[in-house]
Amino acid sequence: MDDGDLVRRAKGGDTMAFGVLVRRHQPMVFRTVLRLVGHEDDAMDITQDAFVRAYERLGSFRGESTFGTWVCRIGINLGLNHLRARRPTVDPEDARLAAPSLVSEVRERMVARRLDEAIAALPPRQRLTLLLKVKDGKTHEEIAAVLGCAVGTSKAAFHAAIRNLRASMADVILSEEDDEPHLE
Amino acid sequence: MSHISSERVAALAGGEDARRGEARHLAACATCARRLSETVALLEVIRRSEDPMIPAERWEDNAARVAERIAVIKPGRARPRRWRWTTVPLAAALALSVLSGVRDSHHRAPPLADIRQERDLDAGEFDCLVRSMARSNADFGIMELVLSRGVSPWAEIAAMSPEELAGFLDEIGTNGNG
Repeated sequence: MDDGDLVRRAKGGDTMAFGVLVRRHQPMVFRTVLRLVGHEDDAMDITQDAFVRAYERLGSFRGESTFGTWVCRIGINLGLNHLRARRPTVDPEDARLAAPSLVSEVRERMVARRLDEAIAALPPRQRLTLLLKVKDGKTHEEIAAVLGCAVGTSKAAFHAAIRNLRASMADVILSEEDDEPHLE
Repeated sequence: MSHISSERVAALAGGEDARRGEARHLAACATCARRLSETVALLEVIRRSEDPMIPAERWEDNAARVAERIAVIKPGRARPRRWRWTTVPLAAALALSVLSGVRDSHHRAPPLADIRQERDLDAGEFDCLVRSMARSNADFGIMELVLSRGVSPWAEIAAMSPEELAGFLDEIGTNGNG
């Protein structure tokens, strides 16, 4: 049964149908929220809340996006609220779960650790855009749909994330950005 | 010598195709080629990182908890929440614009009334829609709607007492048949 049928049934009070939607989409919602909040337990709790909130608001879901995108957006909004509530504590140890942890070479391990910290230090939307693009292979159009922003905003956030990462990693492996005029 | 901008290096590393001239420049410019390869390598480290493995039981447990929580909720209806006064005028403006559209419906039905008709919403669902739009990020839509009516209902709304506002919203929910 496709999502549209399940949503229609759930709107009519069929909680079993909604349960199928939960099982189908919770890994994606969890992964997205994890990329934002960087802590596995928090991400799981927020995923749970996102589906409860989605059920509450099912009447307002018009099918203008996929159910998966819609519930992801709810998860992102809850994740952003969560980050705002716990600011300013950002624990790189927590963030490691959302970022690189296993690489084969020792040097890569060092780079990965530095990257973990650099990714954890990124503003939430930059971090999420970067990881959705690089880890999940989403296009800027898909990221924009999930974040509820313009495609250009997603591109700008991706660029800013890379610029910030390069700045953080400059002393490890990267050459410095130059100040010379650029091709456009 | 002009180099490729950092924005374009990020875009290229992210998988975009090289624009005209960029490929030629990359072939000739060691600096830009290095910046690009470094950025690609950086992203590759991120790409190769592993996500935590979630045991199947944990997914089941999470789904069961969601099922427990929604068992006491009617689908599609938000839990009762305390009204924030900043949202009341906005909702009322929207509701007024809808009401004025209802009254003029023999000329042209307003967008929300159309939605109600298309979706076959009952009064409670329609009221829920109006209220949830006011609470959500639909502020621009609401403003556009108010402006599209060509009226400025703010003065009327400002003159209403809280009771009148509540009654007004109830009236829209009960009588706004679109």
